Amino acid sequence: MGGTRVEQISAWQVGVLVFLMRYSQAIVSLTPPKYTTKGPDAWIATLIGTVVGTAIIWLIAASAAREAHRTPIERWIAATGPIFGRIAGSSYLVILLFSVMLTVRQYGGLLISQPMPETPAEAFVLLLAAGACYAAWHGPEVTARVSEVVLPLLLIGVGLVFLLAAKDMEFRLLKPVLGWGWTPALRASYTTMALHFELLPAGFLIARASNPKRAARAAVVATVAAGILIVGGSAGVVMFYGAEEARRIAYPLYDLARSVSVGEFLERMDPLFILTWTMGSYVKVAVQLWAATLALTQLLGLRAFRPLVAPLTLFCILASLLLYEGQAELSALFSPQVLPWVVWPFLTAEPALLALVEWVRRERRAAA
Amino acid sequence: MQLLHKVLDPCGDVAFRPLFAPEPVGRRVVLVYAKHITDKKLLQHQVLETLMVRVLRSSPNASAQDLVEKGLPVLNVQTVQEIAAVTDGVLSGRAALIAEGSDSALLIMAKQPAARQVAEPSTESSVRGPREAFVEELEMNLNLIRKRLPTERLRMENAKLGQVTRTRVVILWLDGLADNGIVTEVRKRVKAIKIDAVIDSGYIEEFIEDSPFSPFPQIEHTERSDKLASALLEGRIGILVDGSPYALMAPALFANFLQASEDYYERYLFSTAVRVIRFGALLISLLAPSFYVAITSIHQEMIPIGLALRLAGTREGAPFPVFAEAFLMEIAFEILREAGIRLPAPVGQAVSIVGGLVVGEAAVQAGVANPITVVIVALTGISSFALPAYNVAFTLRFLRFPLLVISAAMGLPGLAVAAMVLVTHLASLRSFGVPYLSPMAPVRFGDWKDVLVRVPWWAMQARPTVSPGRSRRMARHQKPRPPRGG
Repeated sequence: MGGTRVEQISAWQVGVLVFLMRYSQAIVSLTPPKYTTKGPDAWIATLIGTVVGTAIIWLIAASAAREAHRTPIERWIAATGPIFGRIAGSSYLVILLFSVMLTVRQYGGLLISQPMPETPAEAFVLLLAAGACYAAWHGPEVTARVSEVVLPLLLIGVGLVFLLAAKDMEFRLLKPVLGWGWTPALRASYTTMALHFELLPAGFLIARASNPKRAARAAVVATVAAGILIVGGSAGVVMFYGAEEARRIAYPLYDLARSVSVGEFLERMDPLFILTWTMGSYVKVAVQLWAATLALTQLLGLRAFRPLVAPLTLFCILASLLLYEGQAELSALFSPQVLPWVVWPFLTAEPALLALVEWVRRERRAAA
Repeated sequence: MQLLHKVLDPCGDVAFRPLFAPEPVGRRVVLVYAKHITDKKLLQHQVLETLMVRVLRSSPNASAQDLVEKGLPVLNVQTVQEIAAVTDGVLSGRAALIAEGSDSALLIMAKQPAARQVAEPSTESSVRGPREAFVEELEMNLNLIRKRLPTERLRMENAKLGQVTRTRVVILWLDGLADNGIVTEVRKRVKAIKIDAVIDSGYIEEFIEDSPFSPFPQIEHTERSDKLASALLEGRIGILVDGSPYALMAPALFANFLQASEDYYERYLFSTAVRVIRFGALLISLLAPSFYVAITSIHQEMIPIGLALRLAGTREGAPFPVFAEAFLMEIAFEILREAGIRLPAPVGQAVSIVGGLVVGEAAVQAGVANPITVVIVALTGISSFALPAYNVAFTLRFLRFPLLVISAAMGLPGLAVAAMVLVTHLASLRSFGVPYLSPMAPVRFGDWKDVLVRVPWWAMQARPTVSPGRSRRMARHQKPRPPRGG
């Protein structure tokens, strides 16, 4: 067991995992309505971000499928040798750890800012990370099965909120379309594009898929599906609150859930929303943690990844609490002025460079 | 013979009956049998009389083989040559016939079964369907299965387990329907058991499951012969143990524990509705108290104002927090349940009902618990009884307690993460290599026809994927249609 036995997951499972990684956090913290500085064009910002983000994911997935059953770290080592390969590959570890820290900190941040202000954020960070650590320890095969259980619950939860809120949504609030031109929408779309960095573990998942080519296709389809739902969510939030109010809300979809009720039976749906969001985040962190641990295992040249899962989780918990002290810092981090520039090299330059090096090697080999 | 005397005399219940062939041969033949488990009438009439009156008179020098071929009117006779085989045979109800000077012995099946008659199942009762339950006698149980599956594809493989009990164990499967890899694995695990005694099939279950530390059962048991036959027809493997009225079935998936035999005998719509209710009961049984504690202690904003005011009224002056109330009431319920099971049936029922009513009412009257907590605890307990598998219901009941603690501390996020850890554990389990949560996770849409819903029989054309190649169980296009033009 451990890292010695290579787990195999199906293309469908890769798709479900990628979908949850993209969508589970987005269901509470839609960024475009917040960062679209003028007008109601958050949905256009999301659309642009999703299209560009999907294109990047398509390139990453396609190159991963070409090098079947090799993780990006293994590909770097194979392409450039053990020393340079490890140096280049270590950037994956950095971005994956950053991704884990961001997700767990964001989770704790929302819970203390809204429904449970008396509980320290550390408790929630610890709760989610420890739970996800257990799933990461079991590897992607088990996490993929868990994701198959979570997916319908998440879709039902979110669907229910939108269904109940639909009666109070007004289509006219989406107008004027592009009334302030493309600039506000384009600027807000940077964050959406950048958030696709959360899908970098897809390269590791595709390497563990029984059919990498189909898995790569599934990853792209899942990114598109999640993008469509996020575009719908952005539009829905603006139709419900109006552009101005949506901009002021930290967690628009979460607030939407607070505003709806089921007859006179359940007054607010936000705790139920938290249930589904927690489940999605659990899967997301589990995959990110697994990918980070596998990256570290391969960088260190070890065989089994399991002994590293708990220490790495502990590191992520501590680092997330030290790196971001509060909600304001988190909001600033997600702004179009910061996040894209932090993650852009990892999301575009590094995979592109890896694909280029592999292409050159293939060409040389063909010529020889 | 001396060796046999040395081994069997100390047992105290083994008889050595000498017989003599008539002169001039004057050969001595000895019948050895265990007094309390052999059928003496059979020995008297079929063995002794035949031997003394016919066989030994006509062929006094007959060998063991001759006796088998010519003389004994007994069906189950075998020739053995080892002393150990003779002692094993005698102590398990066979009579040994040993002729002086012969290097072999005859073992004659003369076991007097001390078993009860086939009766209705006591733990898996149903309104409709067969009512034959297994008994403690292995031969009887094999009879029940063979009666239902009169096919040459039914395979039975014998093993003996327990150095002291030498319990007979039979592995059953249908050739071509069961996965050969799983059959081999079951055989390997069963035969690897080295223990002094196997009193019940429960002993074997703990030795052969994939994850021994999991609270969830990974092997299903049943006392219904129809259920075992159905499992074999789905490509699963059965294990029958002499002395146990419960058969084991593997692989066992989580969904199997929510299915009852009756689901397949009643109309499919009714069966589907019942399954949905069972699934709801499972969720209530596991999550209701934790959800209640989380909502009332931490997420009060979720409760409608009217209900919140009512709750606040009932909780006025309550000495304990909701968590403590629920926890204590759950423990009281478990004690009552356990007491109800251990006492004789009529007293047990009285203890359960009266105890539940009296304790609940008294707790409310004394202000120790509020009525809603009592309702939630009672609902939880009743829901656990709606699950067909007692062992799964038991597991869920006890998992409630850690969930209660985490819900009280961390509210719904805590409950959600705890539930996810539980799902992760379930997803990590396998039963003889088959994922425990399949066909839900990994998704196998083809098998969903018989999980939460039960489609009509004519639509369940393929066997579950646990059977290799998803073999078909029926011809296509059998949906009933009224005659045309009528």
